[in-house]
Amino acid sequence: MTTTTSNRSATLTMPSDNELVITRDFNAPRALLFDALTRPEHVKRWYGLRSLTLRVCEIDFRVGGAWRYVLHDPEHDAEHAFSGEYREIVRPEKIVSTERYEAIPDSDYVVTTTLDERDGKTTLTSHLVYQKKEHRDGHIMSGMEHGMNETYDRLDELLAQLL
Amino acid sequence: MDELSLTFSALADPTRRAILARLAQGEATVNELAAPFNLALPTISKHLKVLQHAGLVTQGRKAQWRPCRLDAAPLKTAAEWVERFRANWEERFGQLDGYLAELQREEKKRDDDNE
Repeated sequence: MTTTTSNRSATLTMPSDNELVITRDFNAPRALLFDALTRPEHVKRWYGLRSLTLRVCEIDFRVGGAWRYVLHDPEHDAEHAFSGEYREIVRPEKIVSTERYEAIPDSDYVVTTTLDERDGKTTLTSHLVYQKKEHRDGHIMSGMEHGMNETYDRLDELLAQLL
Repeated sequence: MDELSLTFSALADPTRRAILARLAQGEATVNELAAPFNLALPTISKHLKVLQHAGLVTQGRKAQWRPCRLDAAPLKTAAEWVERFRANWEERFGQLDGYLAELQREEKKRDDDNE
């Protein structure tokens, strides 16, 4: 399966101080994508990262229902918990939910995910609206920090071997 | 505030972004910068102070007109952070691609078996 064409890579824009928009095309009908995004048995199969495994995936998929994901970072034996509630569900085209990084209280942001299908392919658009610019920027920086730590750890290892 | 927050804050204003775009063409005096905006000099000076504080603009000390200059280094750092964040999502979406393909193969197989 090819994933190299340019229209398949995620784009990220910041239309205002406290917004972030992530767009990505998928080679699947939107009903299938909708299920892959909202059913825990599916989410568990893809949501982790090379450096983070999804340890907890709870989804009470109804308006007012809660969700909670816990990502585990084995390298630092640290856990990162994210949770929120579903505000609006329009199967298979739209999900509005709140989301927060539990380590930062009152940092809730609202995520509106829409799925547009065309010729069997689906465009996913996630629109994130934060309370404050600082929260958005913090979210962007969080991933980098993790990556930076990994880089420094590798550098440490390398130096240990060389010295 | 850390350097990156300063950069993002400085970029969060359309006038400041326009000033940076102007300075990307070459250095300019405060008067030259103020001209296209129809803004009072103190307002432009206030924006310049924010940009200078973020390390995006430097102002000559000796020349009579003290021209302003763009320093793009902090912009590069900010772009790298955003790219890293994007790359994390790209990795996750890449896994979702693989999983969706797997689901569709299973679905097709079930349909074929039923025929």
